[in-house]
Parts: sequence; C-alpha cells; structure tokens
Amino acid sequence: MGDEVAGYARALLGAVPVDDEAVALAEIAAADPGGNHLGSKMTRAHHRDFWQPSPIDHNTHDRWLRHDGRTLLERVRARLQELLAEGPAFALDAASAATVDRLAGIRTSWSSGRLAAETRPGAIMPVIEVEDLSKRFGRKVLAVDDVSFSVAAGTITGFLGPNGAGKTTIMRMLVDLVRPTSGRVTVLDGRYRDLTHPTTRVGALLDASGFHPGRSGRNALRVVARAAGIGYNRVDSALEMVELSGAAGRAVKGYSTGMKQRLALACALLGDPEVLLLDEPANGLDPEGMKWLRGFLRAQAAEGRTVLISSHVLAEIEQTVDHVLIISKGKLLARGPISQLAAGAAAVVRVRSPQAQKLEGLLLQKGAGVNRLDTALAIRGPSSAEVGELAHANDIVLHELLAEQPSLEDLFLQIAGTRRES
Amino acid sequence: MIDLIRAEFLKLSSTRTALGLFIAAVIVSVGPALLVMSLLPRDLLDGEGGAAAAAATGLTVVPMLAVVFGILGMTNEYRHGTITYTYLATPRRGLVIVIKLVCYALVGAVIMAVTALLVVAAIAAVAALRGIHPSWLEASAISDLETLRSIGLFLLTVGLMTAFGVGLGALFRAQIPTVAGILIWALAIEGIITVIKPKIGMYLPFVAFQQLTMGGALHVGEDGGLPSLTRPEAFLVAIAYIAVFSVAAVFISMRRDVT
Repeated sequence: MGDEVAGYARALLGAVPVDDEAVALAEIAAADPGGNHLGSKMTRAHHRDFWQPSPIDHNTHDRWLRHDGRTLLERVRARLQELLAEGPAFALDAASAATVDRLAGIRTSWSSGRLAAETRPGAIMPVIEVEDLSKRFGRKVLAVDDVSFSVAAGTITGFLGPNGAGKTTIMRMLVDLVRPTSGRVTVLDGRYRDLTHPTTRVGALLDASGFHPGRSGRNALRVVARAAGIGYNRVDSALEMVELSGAAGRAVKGYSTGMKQRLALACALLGDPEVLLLDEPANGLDPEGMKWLRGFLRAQAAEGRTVLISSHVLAEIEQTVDHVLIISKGKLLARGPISQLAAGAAAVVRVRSPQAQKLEGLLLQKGAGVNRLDTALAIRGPSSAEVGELAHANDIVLHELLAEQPSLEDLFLQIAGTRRES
Repeated sequence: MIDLIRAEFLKLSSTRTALGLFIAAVIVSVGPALLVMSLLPRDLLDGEGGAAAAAATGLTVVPMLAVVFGILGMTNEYRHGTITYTYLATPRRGLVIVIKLVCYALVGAVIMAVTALLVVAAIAAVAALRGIHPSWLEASAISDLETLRSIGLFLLTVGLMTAFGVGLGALFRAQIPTVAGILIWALAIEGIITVIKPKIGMYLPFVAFQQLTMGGALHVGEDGGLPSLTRPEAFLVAIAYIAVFSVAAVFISMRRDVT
C-alpha cells in the first residue's frame, strides 16, 4: 500500500517543489504506520506531532513540518482541498482514499475506484461530538457529569479511567443504547439512530459476552449482518480479519474469553465502518492476544478509521493511541494528545545511591515529592540536572540517575490526584 | 423490514429454543394420545362420542408452552446480552419488537399446527391398528366448515398467546421470574379468581384465551353454570390484552436503557 500512497502523493503534489514533495511523501507514509514504507524515517512521536503539533518547535519538527509559515499538514490539506474541489480526479485504492480523508479533512466517498468530494472542505471534521453530557441512574447515581469532548476523523483516541468511571455509559450513549439525562451526542453529524444502515458507519464492541451461547460464531455474526442488511460475504471477511475462521462453526459457549473478544471485534467490523467504538477490547486477552490487538488497532488506524477505545488498564493502550480522554467518577479530567499531556506532567527522576536517605532529606527540604525504597528514590519535581547538582554539592554518591517520562498511568494518577486536591 | 424478519427466523433456526418447544409440545400431546388409544378398551373409543377425542386433550397444554416460548424469545435477548447487537443493528426498537411479535406468533401457530397433525396421525394410526372407527376422524367430519373454523381459531389463539409471551418478556426481561410468574398466574391465580368472582374471572387473559378456543362452552345456565364470553367477545378481550401488552412493550423498550 505504501507504494500506492507514495505514487498518489507524487501525482497529487506534482506542482509542489521537490523538497516539499519528499516531505509530503514521508508525512503521508507516516499517516500509514502499517505501510512501513517511507514512514520508516519517521518516529511515532513525529506521527503524533503531525496530527497535533507539539507546542515545542524543535529542529526536527520544524524541518519536517514547517515551511513558509505553515505546517506541512496545512499546506497538503489546502492543496488536496483545491484538487478535490475541482471534482473527481484520482484513482486510488480504498486505504489511500482514507488517508486522503485524514489529510484533507474532507469526507469523501469511495466507489468504483474513484474518489469524489462529498462535502465542502473545512477543518478536520469531528466524527464524534459530545456536549454537556450527563447521565443519572435513579436519584443517587450520577454516572456521567457534564462531559464534553470531540474525536477527530482518523485518530485513535484512548478513553481512560478506572472501572465505574462512566466510560461504558458514554460509549452506550454514543450509539443510543442509553438515553442521556441531558446534553447532546453526535456521531457522524447526527444521532446514531438516524444513520442509514448504522452498522456500516459505526462499529461498536460493547459487550463481548453478548452472544447466544448455543449459536455458532458464524451464525452470531450472520444474525447481526442480516438485521443490518449486510451481505454474508462480510461475515467471512470479518472472521478472517480477527483470525477466527477456524472456530466459526463452533458454538460460542465453547469459546475462550479471548475468542469471544475477537468475535465481538468481528461483529464491530461487519459493516466495514469508518468509526470504531471499542469498550475494553483487551479484557480477558492474554499477552499474545494483547499484542495481536495492538497490531489490529494500528491496522485499523492505517486504513483511516476513527477509533475510540476505552480501557482501565492504561499500559495496554499507551502504545496505540494518539489522543486520550481521561475520565474519573463521571467527570472528564483531561484530554489531548499524549505528548502534550506528558509535556505538562512532571517527569519522574529515578536515583540509586548508597546515601539515599540523606538525599531524600535534602530533596524533601526543597519541596520535592520523594518515594524511597531502600537505596532507590523516585523523585517528582526537580529535573535530573537539579538532582545531580544537589547530590554533587553535598558529596552524595550516585549509582544511577535517570529522567523518566511519565507513563500513561503516571499521567492519569497525577491528573486524578490534582483534581482531587483542588 | 424483510431483512429483520429473516434475521428473526435465523435467530430461531440457529438455536434450540423453537426445536425445544416443538419437542415438548409433541411429548405432552402425542404421548398421552398414544397411551389413551392403546390402553383404553375398544368399546370406549369407538363410534360417535367415543373417548378417542379425549386422546387429543394433550394439545390443550401446547398454548401455554407457546406463551413460555414467546417469553423465552424476548428474555433470551436480555439474558445473553444479544439485545445490544439487535439494537445496534436496528436502532428503531419499536420495529424490532413488532417484528418479533409477528414472527413468534407465526412460529407458535405453525408449531401448534404440526403438533396437532402429529396427534391426529398418531390417533388414526393406533385406531387403524386396533380396528377402531372414531366418527370425528372421518374425512367428512374433519373437512366440515365448523371444524375447520375451530382449527383456524385454535391456531390463531396459539399465535396470539405466543405474541402475548413476547410482550411479557419485553416488559419484564428477567427470564425465570417471568416464566414462573406467568405459570403461577395462569394455572393457579386466574383459576382462584374465576371461582371466587366468575364475572371478573371470565375477562382474565388466559381464561379469555381458553374461551376463544372453547367457544363459550361454559354458559350461564339456569342450573348455575359459570359465566363465560362468546367467541367474538373472547376474541376482542384476547386482542385487547395483546394490544395493551404489545404497545406497552414497544413503548417501554424504546425508553429503556440497555446497559
């Protein structure tokens, strides 16, 4: 696919100077990490910056993204919009068309091997919009409390929070299974129930155990496909996609948790939807299953799908998502690209020293947060340079000094902790 | 809509619920028929007014099985969580419930019809073996207009009762309490009310269903028999129950959260 995207980019950006073209190719390939082509030059961090440029304009960022005062994304998007406004012009494969959707911020239609602009160009269109959403169960339980966010087309957004935070309730409100007490939910410009053939637009994994135990995996999908007006050929494709073809004829009651999870994923993919809502898809998966899921999600994103994925195990999706929404006790605590949130969060400095106790005392005097376990310290607040200088000034021997970027879990704990204190 | 109907029939054919109902219906109706026809003396079974007709009484249990079948059809969706995928595929919940009511009514009636045929076939087979000639088994009696009308009404009633079960399932969702509750209601409570307050009892749902098939067999006689409805009255009462429960099921299903 990388070659096709690159070829397309060459044709598309023929009028753009060569150096820009090279950059554009890399960007387009980076938007397709699964392509493993020109994007090999780009790190995942670059990929993230591409979609949501970091406030820090370091050299690499400038070199790749900025030219004539505009980011490359802005320039490529403008050019794509110009060309698409002129009418159907390009022969692309569906995956490349999806990449163009992402780059141009234009909803396009794909049929008969040709791409056509359906709506007018604009900024990247949010495919999910949630405004002032609240849900109360009975009088006592406020499951969701005035939550607002949007999810941009073509992104993988992690919806993070502990069990009972309100993630599932929000997911179910997105697809009209649960009625909001107040607020508004929009999926692809309207309510889910108003979409024509909704499962071909939005695929949802909400309940991996939601299959009749006596029905075979294939029949479970066929029932949904039939009701949704989807051909049986998609059932076999979806089963293949989740590597469940071999067990498709067996009754679901004989499936392991991981297999049920895959079957639920296949169900979400039945209609080849542009938006995927995945509620705790890693539940019950073994390490091999988790690895498979990460690859699966990356492949979905590479095809240009928008993915909203919830999880309470933060580490499991840290390597997969572009943006995060952090929720706790029904309230949205933070949202944004991981890189941006991480930049605003305190890094952890890890130190090992035979004089750890002495160093701990000095750090506490300076107001740092310190956790000590024997000779090891985890320090929040000062930078690694400040810790090193403090140790040197006090003749403290260090065996290890390491500045560690906070993990998603650290981020969540910091954000949740800050909110509790305030 | 055609897709939804086909999906509903696929749901039925891909599990054992409908098959289970059919097997249960055959066991409770064909079994007693064979026993009665095999064990009773010939003179009791032969001729007009012979006891051979009693051999088919097992069929009267089938409508109750049909109600349970309807309840299971809806409550299984909640029990196994398949309702989530059902509503994701078709967010128009009212349509989902209406299609289910219609499909289950049809399947209930068909199962009743096939079971009745098997019972008649079993009785006829044993009768032929023993050289018995019950008058109601003669071709002229079976093709009689009144008999055909009764058979049609019986099948209609079973269809309505199956739909009634679907409505109950949609309203109450919890499978075991709903099945247990409805059996206790139909087999005990309605009977007690009918005995204590017969004029109220004749309007109760299962009494109405029964009167619809029996055609007001229990008239208020001078000798003080139990009051009952005529067939048209029973039909209206039965339809009213189905309508009220179906509309309530649709209304509540549209507003209920699927968590």
